[in-house]
Amino acid sequence: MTAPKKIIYRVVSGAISVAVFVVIWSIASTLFNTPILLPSPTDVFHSAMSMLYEGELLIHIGSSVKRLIVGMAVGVPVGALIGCAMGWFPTVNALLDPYVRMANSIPAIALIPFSLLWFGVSEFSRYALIFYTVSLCVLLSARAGVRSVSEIQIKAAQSLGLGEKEMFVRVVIPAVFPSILSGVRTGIGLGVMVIVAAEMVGASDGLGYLIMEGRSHFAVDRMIIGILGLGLLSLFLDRSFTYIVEHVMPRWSTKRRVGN
Amino acid sequence: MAEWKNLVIKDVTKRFDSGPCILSGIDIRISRGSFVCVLGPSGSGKSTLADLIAGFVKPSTGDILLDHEKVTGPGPDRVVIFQDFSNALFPWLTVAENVEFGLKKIIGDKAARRRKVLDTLGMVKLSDHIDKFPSELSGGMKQRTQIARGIVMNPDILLMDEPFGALDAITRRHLQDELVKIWEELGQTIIFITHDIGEALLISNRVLVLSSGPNAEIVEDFKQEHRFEDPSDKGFSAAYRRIENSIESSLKT
Amino acid sequence: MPSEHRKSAHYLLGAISVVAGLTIWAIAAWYTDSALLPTPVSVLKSFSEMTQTGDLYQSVFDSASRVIIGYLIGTLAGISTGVILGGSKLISELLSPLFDFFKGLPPIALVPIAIMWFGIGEMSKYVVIAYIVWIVVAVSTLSGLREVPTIRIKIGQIMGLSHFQIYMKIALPTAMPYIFLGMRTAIGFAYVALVSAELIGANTGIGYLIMDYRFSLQTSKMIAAIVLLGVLGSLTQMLFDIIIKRTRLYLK
Ligand SMILES: Nc1ncnc2c1ncn2[C@@H]1O[C@H](COP(=O)(O)OP(=O)(O)O)[C@@H](O)[C@H]1O
Ligand SMILES: [Mg+2]
Repeated sequence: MTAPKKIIYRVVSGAISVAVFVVIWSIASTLFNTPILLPSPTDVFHSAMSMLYEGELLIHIGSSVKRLIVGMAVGVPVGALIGCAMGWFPTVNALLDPYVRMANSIPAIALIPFSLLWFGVSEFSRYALIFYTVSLCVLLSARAGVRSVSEIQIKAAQSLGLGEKEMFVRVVIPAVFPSILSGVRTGIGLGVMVIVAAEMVGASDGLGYLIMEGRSHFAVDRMIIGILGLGLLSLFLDRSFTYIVEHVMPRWSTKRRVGN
Repeated sequence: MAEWKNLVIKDVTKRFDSGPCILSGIDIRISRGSFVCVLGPSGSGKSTLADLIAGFVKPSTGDILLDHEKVTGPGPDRVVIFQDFSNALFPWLTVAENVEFGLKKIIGDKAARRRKVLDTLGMVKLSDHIDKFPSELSGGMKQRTQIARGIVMNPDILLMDEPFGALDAITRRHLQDELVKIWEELGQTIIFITHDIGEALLISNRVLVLSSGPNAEIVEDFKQEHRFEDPSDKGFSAAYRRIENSIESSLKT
Repeated sequence: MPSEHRKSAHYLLGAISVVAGLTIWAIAAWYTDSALLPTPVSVLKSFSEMTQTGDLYQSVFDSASRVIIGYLIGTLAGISTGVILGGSKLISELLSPLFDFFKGLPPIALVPIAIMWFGIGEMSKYVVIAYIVWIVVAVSTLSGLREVPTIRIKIGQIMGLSHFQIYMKIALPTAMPYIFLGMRTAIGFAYVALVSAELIGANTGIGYLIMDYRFSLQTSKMIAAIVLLGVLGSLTQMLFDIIIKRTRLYLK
């Protein structure tokens, strides 16, 4: 497919998806006919617009995004570093692997009570949760990436005269970079999941808070706005991340690595 | 022009751990500037021999010497060109950057380095593709890039392990011709591993035949004064049959 | 074999590292309020205490039945959705943004509204778990069906199979590994959804226990419950792998 055709295709499929969703929703709300439990799309749209006007919606989205960014800014480099070290040095892996396995088997959400206990209902406890989730996710994909660096690549670099340290910097890290990026992408999704959970059990802003607050006021429209906003935010972050990787730094796209 | 080094493989045997002896009693001298092909049935230990010369693995007994100096590990004086071109090139670097990869340590001046890279890419006819990524190249172009990345290092020996084995016949033919031209121009030693007898006779002036393993040894050291230009040349079929026979008889024993 | 030696050396290193970790934990706990960080020994003790009251078994049973029922419903729905929509490349591609959207929607966000719609009882838990499993399995089924190599389709056409036969006999079997992979991923998601539902709206279950122990500051029991949750999740995944291996369904 050519580029403009692709864009048209995307727009069309997006529009159709939205239309299908809205139509099903309208039919359901008409049949169900209990607006207090299931308001119609138009009602929800109107409240969303007024929340947008008053700036309330953007504040909630902004708080969630800010938490995500702070947690990731620390979590990504830490996870990438430890993951690379574990993949490259078997001893480091042997030492840390039991902990990684354990961490990986416990859903991050189950650790929320822990972070509340240690850090209280605070901004820091939310950062800590996101940091934990994202760094673990990036760690796993970085480690897998290092392990999949091809032997031929290593041999080629040795044959061109590279020593061990240079090999790590000039071959291993660039070879692993796409894996790290895809770990970041997964991390964004999991991070959104955790931040919402953290906001639901104790926060005064953010999309998770919006949903919880809607529940206590029995304002289903606000809950739906929170849920849809969350889905859109997650989709937007994912798509823009992919776009940036493909177009701004195509060198590091996984697409370059396959199709050989 | 630099003085290339001679390669001496002195009584080398190789076994991996406690496994069977793969290579036994390999004793060859390859003087500078020769174009040598190593032929042998698959699994005989051709790649192992290449790995030994490259320094990726160490001989169990015997020595590998470059002008009296023992080979202890891989290095840019013996650049290897691999058959697996998809993995051998660095996918995050363009063609020019791949060729520049090893040169960074040798030529500090950026402009001079760039000039050398472009010259070399000209030799392998890739001048029009310098800024492409490996994923945008055909197999033949990838192998040209690999060759450029090797010769730009000015190695004593270019070690090629079945480099054209995964290419189609026409591309292979072109690359064979171009490789010979490059060799005639530069003059360093090329050790070219192949299992294609015809290819060996058409590009090299010395063919070493490895018997089937284990305990593979050199069963034939065929030297020709002139390369055959074409399979229809006088003597080609005779040479072909002679080498074929020595491979066949090594299979029976 | 040297590699065997190395392997056991690594297990040894891992064991040493775990012992070191436990020691550090114990020392740190010694100097910290036990409500914040109990010692490893007290966690073990709490666990054995918990096994003696009936509470734990009831909670494990409740959580397990939620996961199992939700997972089964979700898997069935996911495979059906995938198989029905995947028959048409056009439909599956046009609707893919919709699935991407739902996939990015954290299950926990749906818990409050599920409770409103389906009550605080078991139904809302089944719905939330089934929902995320449904999406994950449907997406993987659809992507598996999209990856079928055209050559295989062509082979079917050469052999004179009908459109429907090609779909059933070639496309679906080719997509099988993807479907199973999706089902495996969905186990993790099911547990996430379970915990989500139990943390913010349940009176039983392991997630509820975790939250309850936090409020009563019984931290050692809370840790025991969290670890138990992790163990159950891993066991489920292992069980899945064993079944798949036994039935040899993973063949590519
Ligand atoms: N790293 C290794 N460890 C153990 N055995 C090896 C190793 N590398 C190669 N071999 C064995 O050495 C023999 C020769 O292999 P190779 O040199 O790749 O053959 P060729 O390149 O001629 O096909 C084979 O039997 C192979 O199994
Ligand atoms: Mg070989």
